[in-house]
Amino acid sequence: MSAAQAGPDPPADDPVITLHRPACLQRRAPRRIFVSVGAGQCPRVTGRGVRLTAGQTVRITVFPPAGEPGRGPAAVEVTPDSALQPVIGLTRVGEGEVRYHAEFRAQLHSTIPEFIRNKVPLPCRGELVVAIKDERFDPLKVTLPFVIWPSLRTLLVSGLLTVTLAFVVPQLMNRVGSDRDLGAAAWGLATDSQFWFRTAALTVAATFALHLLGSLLVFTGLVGEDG
Amino acid sequence: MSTPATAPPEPGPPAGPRDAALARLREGTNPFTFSVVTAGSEDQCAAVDVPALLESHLADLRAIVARYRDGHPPAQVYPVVGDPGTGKSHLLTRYVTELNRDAEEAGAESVVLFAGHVPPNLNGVDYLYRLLVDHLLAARGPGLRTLTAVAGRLAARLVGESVRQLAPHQQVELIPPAGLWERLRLRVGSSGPVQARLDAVAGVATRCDAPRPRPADVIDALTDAGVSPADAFRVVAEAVDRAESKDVRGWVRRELYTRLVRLALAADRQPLEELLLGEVPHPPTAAGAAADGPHRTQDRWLLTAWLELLDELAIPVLLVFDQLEEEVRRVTEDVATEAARAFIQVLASIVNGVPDVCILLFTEESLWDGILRRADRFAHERLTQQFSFPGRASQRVIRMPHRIDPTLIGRLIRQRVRTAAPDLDLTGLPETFPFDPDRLRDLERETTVRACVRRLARWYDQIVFHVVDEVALRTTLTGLWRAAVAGVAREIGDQGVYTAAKIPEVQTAIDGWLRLLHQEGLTGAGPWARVDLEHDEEKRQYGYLNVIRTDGPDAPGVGVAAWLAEGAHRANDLRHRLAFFQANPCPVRTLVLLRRDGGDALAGAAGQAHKDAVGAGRDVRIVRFEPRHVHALFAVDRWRQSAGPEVDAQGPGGRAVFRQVLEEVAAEFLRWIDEWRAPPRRGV
Repeated sequence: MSAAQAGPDPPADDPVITLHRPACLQRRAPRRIFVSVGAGQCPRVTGRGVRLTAGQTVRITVFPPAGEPGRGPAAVEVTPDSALQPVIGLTRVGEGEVRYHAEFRAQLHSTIPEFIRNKVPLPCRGELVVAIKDERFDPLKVTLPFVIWPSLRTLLVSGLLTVTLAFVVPQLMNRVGSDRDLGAAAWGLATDSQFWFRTAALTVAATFALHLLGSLLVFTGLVGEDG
Repeated sequence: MSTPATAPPEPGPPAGPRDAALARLREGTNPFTFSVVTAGSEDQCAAVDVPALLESHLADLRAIVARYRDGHPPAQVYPVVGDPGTGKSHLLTRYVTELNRDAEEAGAESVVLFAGHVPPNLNGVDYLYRLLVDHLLAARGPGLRTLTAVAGRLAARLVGESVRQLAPHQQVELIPPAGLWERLRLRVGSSGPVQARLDAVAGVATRCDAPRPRPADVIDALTDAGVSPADAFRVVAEAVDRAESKDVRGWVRRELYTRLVRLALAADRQPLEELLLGEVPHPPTAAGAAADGPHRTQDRWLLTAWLELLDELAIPVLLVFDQLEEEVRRVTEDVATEAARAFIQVLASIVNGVPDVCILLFTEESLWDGILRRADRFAHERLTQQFSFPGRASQRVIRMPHRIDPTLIGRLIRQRVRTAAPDLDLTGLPETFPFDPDRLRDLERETTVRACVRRLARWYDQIVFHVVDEVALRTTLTGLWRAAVAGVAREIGDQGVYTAAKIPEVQTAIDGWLRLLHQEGLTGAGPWARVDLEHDEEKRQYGYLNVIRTDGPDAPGVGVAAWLAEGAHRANDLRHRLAFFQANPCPVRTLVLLRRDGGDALAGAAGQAHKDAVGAGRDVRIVRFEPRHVHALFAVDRWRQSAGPEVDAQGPGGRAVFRQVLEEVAAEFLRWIDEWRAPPRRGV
């Protein structure tokens, strides 16, 4: 849209205005980004982002911006970090209204060995970047933050393990020290209803404490990014 | 200067639909008095508008502006040229009315900038910016409407776009919780209120996508969703800041857009005014001031940002020059030249330097040509670019019509009559009521609508109010008189009547004159009792004598006889005429003999007969006449025939004018008669 035209030179002081298309006025953002889990339910969303549980599958549906007349729809890219493992790659679906669909599985701390990856009882952060690419402008990126929590089972197991190490084993050692008979000591514990009650209570408390710790880390922003 | 003479009101109740309609029209004003000379108001023009008159020109203007609304053509001048009164200003007013209506009813906004005085030494780009700011910061009218529309659409665009750029958790945070319980649920990320908020924010974005939203629509969408306008403004400001560059262009855009959004969402106009009026200097990082000062540079950046914004919102910018004559034709030629140069410079620099501006120029063709002659090659090439419409050859100007379509005159009349009496029932009356269709043929000679309307205004006064435009009628009658005299002169020349055979014809013509004068009461110094044309069969052609009974209906009067001879010839003619003195009853006391060579040339038998008659105490006078008198003599009848319809159409007022004109053309004749009725002077 340059105003420059052929012909004799303009007077020296004549300014020539050149118009561009302001980037902020373009409809570049996706019309909507749907995030769903399970059977299409809305995930939990807190101020830190979308809350997922390790191992949970999250579906992303992106509706690209309406293209201008004579131009095709903008290209969409969805780029997850390592906390989100692709399950179904980005796929264009639908006949009339164009939309893109992808699925990811949340995972904890991908840098640690896989067999215990999702067993760590602390949350981690993940990110998914939805980029709308238009050749006229730099890509527009919408970053979706995720907070991936360990599952309740992992927390319980972790809590139980903690109680076992911190309470059950010392109790057992105490009894072995007086009776010098491990079997009898174990049997004594097993038949001690108070012991079981305390163990259960401590396990719940430990699980809750782990959750609190995770929440504290999330709240203070100290929760680490995956990787 | 006309002196209206109002006829007495018509007595009694009106009879028939025409009279009833005339009586109703008489209660109102003359609807033809309004003809756009400078610039009429929109209402005035709309009231008298006949769409078909300028429909093709309107279509051209619509096509031009549509190009600027839908695309990005370069700036170009579109001259609409025509003679004064051809309807240029009316066309402009009508089109601007149409643009305003489109903006109000359909939201199809346009920025119409009316150029005024072009200050010398001001660049066209800066001039355009001044006009734009003045227009947009107007306290009311189209400027305010446009600014509000731009702010609303920009706010909608930016709010919709910026909330879509938010991640879900940010969208959720836009809507505060309604109570403690919801606060707790949101704290833990409960999906119920989260989904409701995501849907509400999506709803805001969808409503902002509506075509041509107003500020109230955006605020309603935000309010319904539970998003505060302040939060929406913050999100918009962040999004604009992210998207725009950090240079001057980006700074100006950020400032302009955020202040416009503030205007839309908070009705806060002050920040925008401060920016547009140059009270917000750009920061040091946005440097780049040119030699002509930082403000002018900032103005140009602001103009750029405005044009980009208006372009993005499909709002065309029209720069209109109307009544260019006032600007360029100043009191003296020097000033005119300077004004013309300033005008050329401004136009050329806008065409050269500002894209996407449509320049409509309404002027007389001769003036436009004169301006182009003063332009140098650079400006000339920019001001004479061709344009074309589908199915037509390219052109440099749009010409106003030189003729009014006769089939549209009826509609023009009907439209105006309706404005005079909207409740008037015109059923059964012709479209040309109250005018005679035959008379309207005269309008076909007019080259401009204004001239037609002005003539209709005069006729309307005559027909409805019985007011005569004396000047016009006098001019018409005088013209008809001259035409009649000239026609007779061509037909008979200088020698055509000087035979005895023509005496009856001449005497009859004199009788016509005298009867007309007597009928109109034009009898000179005293009244006439009667006018006769005596005829004595025995004297054959010499037996004709006009008699003016000045002393009573039966008393001898002044006899007038045409003696169509010269020198000594036709003494017999004289003797026959002198015999009227011996008739019983005697018709004459004074015998006037009209003779081309007068009395001095009498000789021979004719001279002797004259001498004898005078010696016998007869009042016989020889009066010299000229060919022009003969022409006038024969012209009076055809004049009266041609003037009759004009006079009758004017009613009693017209009759009075006719009498005045008759008195003027008969002045010499009446002076003669006054002399003839006086006693003879010695030696005559």
